[in-house]
Amino acid sequence: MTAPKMESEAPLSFYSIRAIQHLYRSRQASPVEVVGSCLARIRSYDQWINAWITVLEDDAMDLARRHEADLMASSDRPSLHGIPIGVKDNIDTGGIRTTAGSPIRANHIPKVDARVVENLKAKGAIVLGKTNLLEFAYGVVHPTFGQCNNPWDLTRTAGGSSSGSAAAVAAGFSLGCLGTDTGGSIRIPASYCGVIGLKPTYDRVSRHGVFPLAWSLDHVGPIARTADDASILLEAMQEPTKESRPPLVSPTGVSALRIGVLREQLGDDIELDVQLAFERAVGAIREAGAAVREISIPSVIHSDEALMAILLPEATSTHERWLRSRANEYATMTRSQLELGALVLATDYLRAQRFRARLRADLSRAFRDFDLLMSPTVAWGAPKEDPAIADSSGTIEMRRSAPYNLTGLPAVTVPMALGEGSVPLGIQFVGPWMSDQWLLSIASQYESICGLIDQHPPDSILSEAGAP
Amino acid sequence: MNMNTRHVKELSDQVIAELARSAGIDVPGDRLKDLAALMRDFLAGAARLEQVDVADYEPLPAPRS
Repeated sequence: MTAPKMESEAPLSFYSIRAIQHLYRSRQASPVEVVGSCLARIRSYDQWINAWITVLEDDAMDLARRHEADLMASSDRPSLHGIPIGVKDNIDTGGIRTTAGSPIRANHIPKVDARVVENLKAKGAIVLGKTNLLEFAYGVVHPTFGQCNNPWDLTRTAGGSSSGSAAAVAAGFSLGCLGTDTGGSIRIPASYCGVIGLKPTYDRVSRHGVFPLAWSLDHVGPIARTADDASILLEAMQEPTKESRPPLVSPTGVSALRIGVLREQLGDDIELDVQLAFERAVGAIREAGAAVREISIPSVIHSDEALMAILLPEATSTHERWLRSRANEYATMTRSQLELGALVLATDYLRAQRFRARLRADLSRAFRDFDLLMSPTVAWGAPKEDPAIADSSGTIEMRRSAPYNLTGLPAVTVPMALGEGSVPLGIQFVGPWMSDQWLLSIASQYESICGLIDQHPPDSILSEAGAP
Repeated sequence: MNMNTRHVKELSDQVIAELARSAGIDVPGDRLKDLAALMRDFLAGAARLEQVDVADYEPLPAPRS
């Protein structure tokens, strides 16, 4: 089959999932071509990006051939039939090494798939491989696996901890990916790489078979090229019992929205390019008819401290045994953060848990007056390296994402603009509990308003990197 | 509450090493200074969190609707 000429001459691996579904149904493209296109780009360019820990080239092509034969027999197939995806390497894949980005798990081969992978495969997804991440998703690169570089600027990080997943989608290695998010680890790299990242409502997507970082903060979600694609992935990966629940009064268009901007999230920690881009975004949304208004929720500023008081001991609780027996195998800063978690008082942990109940109540009150909340996703564009979680810059990096790990509310980052150095900046939308699909439909409309949909880094960046 | 009640600034590296040992963790001398700095930052943050009135709220073990 020959790929049709679409609106661009981009390789098939840069097409949206929606577009590929259409091409499959009309038999204008095949899974072998699409998976082949992804693998060809990985072979050519991943040496400069380091998005993948394991690439399942033979398995993926075998499955693509089987899916192609199925499609020839009938085009009535599940939603992700023949769609290639990447899976963050802290999410179990049966029979396939799952390292969590650490030498401690370098030879770990799970017996079965994580529930979320099982759900995606049941809908026909083809797993291309396992994507790079910060060690145990805990804010530090382990030298054994190395930094995942940003496809927009190879001298910068793709962000963390779902670095490989965001970079893989941005670089056209995969149509979508799975990530995990404990303080911003889907949204921060998605923002840095110019793609969509959704942290769903807590527990909407199963964590079974996902190596825990902090069980009460961990979320699993999609990274995709468009909000519509993220919606397709979420529908396929979530538990069948988790139905979407739009807000009580759910405007369908941006023009009817009441949007709150938290004053506490507009601090002077935000770099100028982000500040200007956010002001332009607010202007564009107002021009589309939405009512955008500043609000203040003073408790939000204490999210930084509450996150640390919960994250540190919960993470250490998981690693306690290895911390005593294999401490030398961790990256130095991962080890320090785990040691720090052992020193947190139970009273501090419980105070933080009480705080999150208060924060949730404060935000719930805000959603009586607003349909959604909006902020820059991160205070800056991609830096050279990922700051450690326990560093002050790590705290600032998570400042606008972590409140929604504490409260479990759904939050999505959408590309907002190209900032200083032509690297992407993200805008974050937050909705009420279980409003995920509605939130993605609003994100999709924002993409249309701001015209940043489907932008990807120029291949010249990668070609120049590879030039002798 | 006064932050000094947590004795954040006075907490010596040696005391932090003892605390770690009591948790079953032996911190090598060359890394102790870094861990102690992280611990002081954390305790300063914990002291700030003490300023927030959470008396009316029960600990939330995980987010829920």
